[in-house]
Amino acid sequence: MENKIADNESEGTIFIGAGVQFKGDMTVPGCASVDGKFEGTLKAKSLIVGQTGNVSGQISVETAEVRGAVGDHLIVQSKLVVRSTGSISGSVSYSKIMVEEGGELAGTIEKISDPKVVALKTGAE
Amino acid sequence: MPYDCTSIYVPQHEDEVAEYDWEQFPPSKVSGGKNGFTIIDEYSGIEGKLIARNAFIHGQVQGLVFAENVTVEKTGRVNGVIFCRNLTVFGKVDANIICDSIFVRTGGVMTSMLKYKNLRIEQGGAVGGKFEKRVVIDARAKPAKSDGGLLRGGAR
Repeated sequence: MENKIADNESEGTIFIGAGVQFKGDMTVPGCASVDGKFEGTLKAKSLIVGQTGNVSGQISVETAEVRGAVGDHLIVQSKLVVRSTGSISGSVSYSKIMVEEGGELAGTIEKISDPKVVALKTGAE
Repeated sequence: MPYDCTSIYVPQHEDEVAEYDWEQFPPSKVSGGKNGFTIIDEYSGIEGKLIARNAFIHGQVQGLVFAENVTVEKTGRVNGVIFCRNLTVFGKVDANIICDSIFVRTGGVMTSMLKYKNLRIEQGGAVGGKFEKRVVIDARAKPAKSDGGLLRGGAR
């Protein structure tokens, strides 16, 4: 898929399909793709939230691409992309950002000056 | 001058902002079809109020920018309050912003309390602060006015 922002072929991935609800903690070495609903703590290399996806809780990832909804606390150590159908609310920390027209950001937005410091604070790799 | 800039009322409350008719904004109204513009050059600065139809800011503005279209160019700096229809940021903005559309371009840095309808951030743009998407308020159902003005630092 050309829009995927992480090559996750060689690492463990998880896909939460539309209609699936997951509550709990997850550590994903590769890509977490969410078209359903996730609530809890998520650490992953990359996060892809589909149009029907809804992610909330403590989220810490290297890269994120959002077409659905993300809430609560999101830390993106590298690049955050919000597509035209995406919306993010709550607190967001990022290193690089791109928001397409139609994308929504609401809440407290912060640019990470040194991603390593945030990684240490959150315990993420 | 075809209008008295000192008498221009700056909306202070959410309902006033929601209902603000940019077609009646004096600089736009009196200029008719003419697309007049104001340029603050790289070596100039303003402290106070800048009221214009189209403002291109290469220099520094400290205070209120009240315009239909505002472009903060690469060397531009704005500190204070911006109330506009369309805002484009190539430079640096540290302001309380209420706008319809905002576009942060590559190299643009914006730190603000931002209320917007449409947001776009180009790759290489940087933003921070508290953001809120403005909802379209039905003019027939006016909400109660809040105590505090939206445009802190703005003047009537």
